[in-house]
Formats: sequence, C-alpha cells, structure tokens
Amino acid sequence: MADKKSIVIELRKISKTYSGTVETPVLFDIDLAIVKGSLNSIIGQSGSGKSTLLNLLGTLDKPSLGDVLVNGLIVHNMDDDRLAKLRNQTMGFVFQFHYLLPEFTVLENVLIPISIEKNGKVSEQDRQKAMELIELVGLSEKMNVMSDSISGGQQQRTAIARALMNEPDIILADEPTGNLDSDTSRSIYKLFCKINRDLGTTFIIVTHDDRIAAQTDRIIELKDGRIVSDKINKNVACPI
Amino acid sequence: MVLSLKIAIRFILKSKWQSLFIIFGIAVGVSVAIFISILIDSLQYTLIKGTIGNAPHLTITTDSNKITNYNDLKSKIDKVSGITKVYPAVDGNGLLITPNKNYPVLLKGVSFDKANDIYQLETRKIEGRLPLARSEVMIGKDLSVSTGAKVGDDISFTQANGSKSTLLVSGIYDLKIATVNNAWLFTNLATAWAIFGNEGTYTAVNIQVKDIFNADQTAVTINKQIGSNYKVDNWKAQNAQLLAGLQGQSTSSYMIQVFVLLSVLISIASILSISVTQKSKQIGILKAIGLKNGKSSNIFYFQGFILGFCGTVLGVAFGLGLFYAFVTFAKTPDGGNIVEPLIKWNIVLMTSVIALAVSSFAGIIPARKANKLSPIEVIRNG
Ligand SMILES: Nc1ncnc2c1ncn2[C@@H]1O[C@H](COP(=O)(O)OP(=O)(O)O)[C@@H](O)[C@H]1O
Ligand SMILES: [Mg+2]
Repeated sequence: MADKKSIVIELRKISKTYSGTVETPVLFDIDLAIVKGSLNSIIGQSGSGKSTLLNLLGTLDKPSLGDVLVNGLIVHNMDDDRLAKLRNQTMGFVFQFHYLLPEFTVLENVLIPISIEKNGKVSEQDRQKAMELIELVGLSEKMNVMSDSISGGQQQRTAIARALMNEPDIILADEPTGNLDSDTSRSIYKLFCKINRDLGTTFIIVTHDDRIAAQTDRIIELKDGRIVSDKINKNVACPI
Repeated sequence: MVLSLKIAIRFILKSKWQSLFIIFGIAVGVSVAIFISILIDSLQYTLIKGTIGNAPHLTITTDSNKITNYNDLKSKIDKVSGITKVYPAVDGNGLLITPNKNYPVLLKGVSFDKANDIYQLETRKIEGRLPLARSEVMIGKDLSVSTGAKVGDDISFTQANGSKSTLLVSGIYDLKIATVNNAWLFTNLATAWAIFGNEGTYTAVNIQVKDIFNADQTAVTINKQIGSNYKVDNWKAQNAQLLAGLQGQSTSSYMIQVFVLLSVLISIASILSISVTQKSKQIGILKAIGLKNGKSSNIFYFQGFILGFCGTVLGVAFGLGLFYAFVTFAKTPDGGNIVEPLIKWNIVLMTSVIALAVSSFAGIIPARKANKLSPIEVIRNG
C-alpha cells in the first residue's frame, strides 16, 4: 500500500442510498484510496454503482454514510462554494455526454476552468497554455470554431483539454467514450495514458470495456455496490 | 470582462429570437409608457397655451390703477431671471356704439416694438396693418363680423364718463380666442394716452416668462423686488381649477405607466425563468467545474440588465418616434399642430431608469433558480 502522502482521493466506509419515493441502496461500505499519478479504471455491469461512486469521488454528490477525503481533507462540512473551488483547483471532469458550452468556441471552452478561477480575466499566458492543450488533443485547426459544430470525438477531446486546463491532481472520466466509435475511443484512451505518463495526472476512468481496463495500472471492479476485485497491473505500456 | 457577464452575453446571442422577443417586449412597454406621458404632457401644455393664449403670464397692477415709474419698475423686473418679455399697457373699458347694438370692449394701448410684443399682432393680423398712427385701432375678427366694421371704417368708442372718441380701423387680428377677438381693441400708446389722459403712466405691466409652469414662483420673486404696493397676478392663480383637473389627468397617466411597466416585469421574468431551464445543462457543468452559486445567479441578473438596457433604449426611440409621427400627422384643417410638443426629458429619463431597474429585478427568479441548481442533477440525467 502506498504511503499516506501520495493518496489523492480517499473514500472511507462510504455507503450511498438514493432516497426518493423508494429508498435505493446503491453503494455499501466502500473503502478506496487512489494513489497519486496512477491510471485507474472502474469496471462493472450497468447499474453496479460506478457513476455513483465517481460522483462521490468528484464531490458532486454526498455520501449517506462515511467520509470523502480530497488531498487528506474531509469534504463533509465544506459548503457549495468551497467545494466548487476545490473541484476547480484539484479536479478535471470528462463525462460521457461531453457537456461543452455550445455558446463558446473550442478555445473558450478549454479556458473555462481558469476563467472561473480568475473571474474572466484570463492572461495571454493562459491562452497560450490552452492552445498547447488543444494541440495536445490534436484540435489546433478547430480552435476557433463553435464547440457545437465539431464531431463527438472532437468534442470529447475538447472536454479533455478543458479538464487539464487547471493542472488538476486528478481527472475523473465517466464512460468518456461511451458515445464514440471504437477507433476514436482507442485514440482517447491513448491520450489519457500519454497525459498520465507525461504530466503525472491521476486518472479514474469508468468503463465497461475490459480491454481498455486491462491497459490501466489498477482495475477496480464493482458488483451490486461493492468492490469485488481490485487488481494492480505492473508495467503497463500505453497503447500505440 | 467578468465571467458571468461574458456568459450572459453569449446566452443572449445564442438564443437570438428569444432575446429579440424579450427586447421587443420591453421596447413596446417602454415606448407606450413614454408615448403616453409625453402625449399627455403635450396635450396639457397645448390646452394651457390655448387657455392663456397670448395673454400675459404675469400682470403687475396697483390699487390706484396707475403706474407712474415704469422705467424704475422695469429695471427691477429685469433683475429676475426667466423673464422673456416686459410690456407696459394702458387699458380702459368702454362701449363700441353702433346703430343697432352697443358692444362692451377693452381698449388696449400697447407699444409695437418687436422685442416686447407679447401679442405678436404682426403675425396674428389677418387684414390691414398695425395701428401705428394716431387714432388708429385694430379689432378682432369676431368683433368685425358682429359689428360689420371693416378696414378703413370709423368706429365710435365711448367711455363710462361719456367721453367719445372716433377711431379708424387699420387692421383685423385673430388671436384664436373668441372672448379676446370679441372685445379687445389694440391701439398705440399715444392714442390711449390721448383718450384716457395721464400721459406717461400705465395701468398695468405685462410680463411673459420662459417656464410658464413656474409663473407663480416668478410672481413671488418679482413682488419681492418691486415691493408690496404692487400686485402681481399670475395665470396659474387665475386658472387654478383647470390646473387641478390636469393634475388628476397626470395621476391617471402615471397609473397607466405603472401597469405597463409591471406587465413588462412579469413577461421578462417569466421568459428568463424558462431560459434557466434551457441553460440548466450549462449551469450544471459550470458549477461542476467550479462556478460558485452567486456567480451563476449573476449570469441571469446580467441577462435581465442587458435585455432591459437594449429594450429601454429601443423603447425610448420608438416612443419618441411615435410621438413625432403623431405630431407630424395630426394636423388641424389649416395645417397647424393639434398638439404642441412638450418633452419633459427628466420624465423620459426616469421612465428609462425605472424600466432598467425593473428588468434587472426580473432576473431575480431565474437567478435564484440558478443559485439552487445542483450540478449532480444535470450530470446524472444527461
Ligand atoms: N438519482 C437516483 N435515484 C434513485 N436511484 C438511482 C439514482 N441514480 C442512480 N440510481 C440507481 O443506482 C444504481 C447505480 O447507478 P449508477 O451509479 O448510475 O450505476 P452505473 O454507472 O454503474 O451504471 C442503479 O440501480 C440506478 O438505477
Ligand atoms: Mg454510469
């Protein structure tokens, strides 16, 4: 087990029950610690609780029981604004439905996290950095087009560049290629792996594709709201 | 530019038709409010001008009906600001005697120097010329009709003490007020003095002011300057009842404006509320990446303000345009204006400020919705 300092996010005895007209218990007594710099995958069948788990890790949702720790701090008592700032500074999100702002260009979308941090006053340096990230995800020609006029794969690349903008400690991706064809999917995972290796960014990727999971450092498998297996892969090489 | 403002602008531009619709709605409301207020002010102004006509706004008289030191008085009056014309007169009552009937008339001796000509007889003249020579007189259109006196005719003016003067009609005027056209005879000062005696003294000093609605205040100021031996009458005191009626009319026009602006408020608020629902995906994702609740609310306050600003500017332009069109096309049969335009810019400004405040306020409901929106709702539901 890695030493305490290198843990980015930790779940302690987490349970989650959705309460609506009926109580739906989804997660049971989960303990999970994510090591800094690692490339992790969460697998499991549909409905096993993967998204719920990822949203708890991302402080977007609150557990029914247990604690979430981000960089060693318990988030339980933080208010909305404090959590917003925490997410802005430490996390990047990539969702299945890429969720770009269609009112903005590709470049502007990538600049949103820093724009939020600086309340709109982005510097030339920030702009430069955003352009480098866009180049990294291979979208330089599309930089100044509106974000709803590019393909799904290109939108997902834009979302990845956006997630990287504030140099987060961790990127949380929930079935990021769920809507993309297999070639595009493969190139997106290749990109994740490359960013992880080059920049040291921690990744947690929810996927139902075992072949993709097999190329990550750690595979956590959920079944009916419990972790049923947690495997470490040694010496994983990024796909070519 | 702060982020919330930038997002607000993009949201507005993205849903162009919806934004134009809101702006147009505000503009219609504002233009109606502005048009009504300007129209009512102008109609009142026209009515007042018609009522006081070319009559003096202020009249200085004494108990003895004799003003001996006109030059001294004038230099004192000139010190008061807002006065456009000062005009001494020698007036006297009498009868115009014709074979069939006697007509009560007022003979007014005035000077025809252009700068101080209150009655503007030169332009109001419909026949003949000004009564500049000795014993010449100008009569009103209506009196000419009823007496049959024409330019070049002699008429007979008899005072209460029985003394008779024969005067030559040099011209006929139309001051557009029947009571004046029926009764007033204009002559030069020398003739008036010759008829009434007291050469060099006046019976009244007439004054016109720039701001007729402030005439009562000016009267007080002048009275202070010239002393309490003189009485200063103003048109407002003489028309108190009319003014009270107009005040009531103004109040009802304010009510109309309040309801117009209220309906503007409700329509913007409801459309903006819908727009939060339309943009909930964006708000959710922005919050997930770190936008704070307050800033997400600001987006909608800014939207309300921007839409309100555009709508107000457009509305003021519409309102003024509508009014000028009305003034241009609403003409009397002889081509004169039905309404004399009177635009109170402070009212226009106030209406605009209120409309702007109201539209910004309309952002409150969507802003609170945005504030409460939780990013997880959006992310969970796709
Ligand atoms: N808001 C909710 N209210 C009630 N039940 C929910 C809600 N969200 C998810 N669930 C239920 O929780 C379970 C786990 O869902 P989820 O975490 O989305 O699983 P996965 O991502 O692995 O498919 C499912 O049975 C789902 O129906
Ligand atoms: Mg899921």
